[in-house]
Amino acid sequence: MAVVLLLISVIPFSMALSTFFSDSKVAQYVGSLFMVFPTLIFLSVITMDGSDNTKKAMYGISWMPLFPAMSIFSKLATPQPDILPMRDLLLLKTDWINTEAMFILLALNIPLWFMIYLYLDSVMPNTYGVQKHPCFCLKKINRQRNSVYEDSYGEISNKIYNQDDPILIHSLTKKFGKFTAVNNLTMSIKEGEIFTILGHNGAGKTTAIFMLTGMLKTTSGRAVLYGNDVNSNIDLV
Amino acid sequence: MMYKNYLIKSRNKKGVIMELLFSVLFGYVIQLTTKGLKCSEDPCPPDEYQNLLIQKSIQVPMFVTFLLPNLTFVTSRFILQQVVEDKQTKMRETLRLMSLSRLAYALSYLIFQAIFAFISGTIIGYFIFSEKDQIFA
Repeated sequence: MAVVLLLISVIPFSMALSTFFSDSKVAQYVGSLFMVFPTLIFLSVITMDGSDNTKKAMYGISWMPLFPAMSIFSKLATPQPDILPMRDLLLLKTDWINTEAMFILLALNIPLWFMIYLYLDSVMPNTYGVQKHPCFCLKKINRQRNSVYEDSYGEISNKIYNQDDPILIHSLTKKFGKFTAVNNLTMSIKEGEIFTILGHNGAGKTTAIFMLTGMLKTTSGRAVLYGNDVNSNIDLV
Repeated sequence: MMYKNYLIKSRNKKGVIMELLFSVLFGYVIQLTTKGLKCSEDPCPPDEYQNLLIQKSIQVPMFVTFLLPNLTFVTSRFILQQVVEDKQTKMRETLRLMSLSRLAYALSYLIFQAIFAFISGTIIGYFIFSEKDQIFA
């Protein structure tokens, strides 16, 4: 049961870990190091010299839900009634992890790491996709339509940009380093209109569509689709 | 998404076999470790009892300490590889364009891999509990 729980809790842990990588091979190599890390902490704690308080503090930090495997290690380090206390052999003075606590820790690891993954997945910057603000939970969703365009669209012809249209793109820019792929794109698309974007290779057509669909984050400018900004409300888009 | 994961797994049969094989190996090593930890006669002679206690207290935790990371890595490898590959190949964003939510995407991986974790855990459990006198039971 403990092993099953451990293996299941490793899944959301790995998912959370995966948010930091953009290359699958690197993820595998570094991921394997992370799996060995609890063992290294465990071994360093049980073999270290020093006061009991230092050991307790070190141990407390290490087994806390940081790593699912630490729950099982903690249980193994805890003396059992019919077994010679491991703490006497390994100079470890902890007796606050029993079987129930180990199961609770492992069970808690699953929703905890799953929530951490969902959060990290939303806020961690990636090559593709629009990321949310780190404090997005605290921010109110601003669905006010067109408010950002009122002061600057005046000079643009109504044929290209009409504020009443459902799809509004204003000064949309995408830069990859020093290279500017899309430079100040401004236009609006009417409902039911068949709209075509024509251009030579490398003109920025795909990049513009990627920005509108949330595949790429914009460098500057705004795009609003039916009142939802692609930078802040991509889920609704 | 579950079907997509199933297809990926079915294409990588080698990986699946390795995953299950490692569980068997892990369980077998634990069984071997605990197998000899029995008294030769009943009641146990005090000297032998002391030796067994020391063996149990060091041998088993150390084996588990070294083997657990490998076992957890086998489970996490698929997730690490596949989730990052989905990002690399724009698969995830493409699925999101088709209105797949982040939660559904994450849950599909969790549920699918949990099935394999359950099978692996059950295999290890079988090896552990097939030995009557051992310390994990």
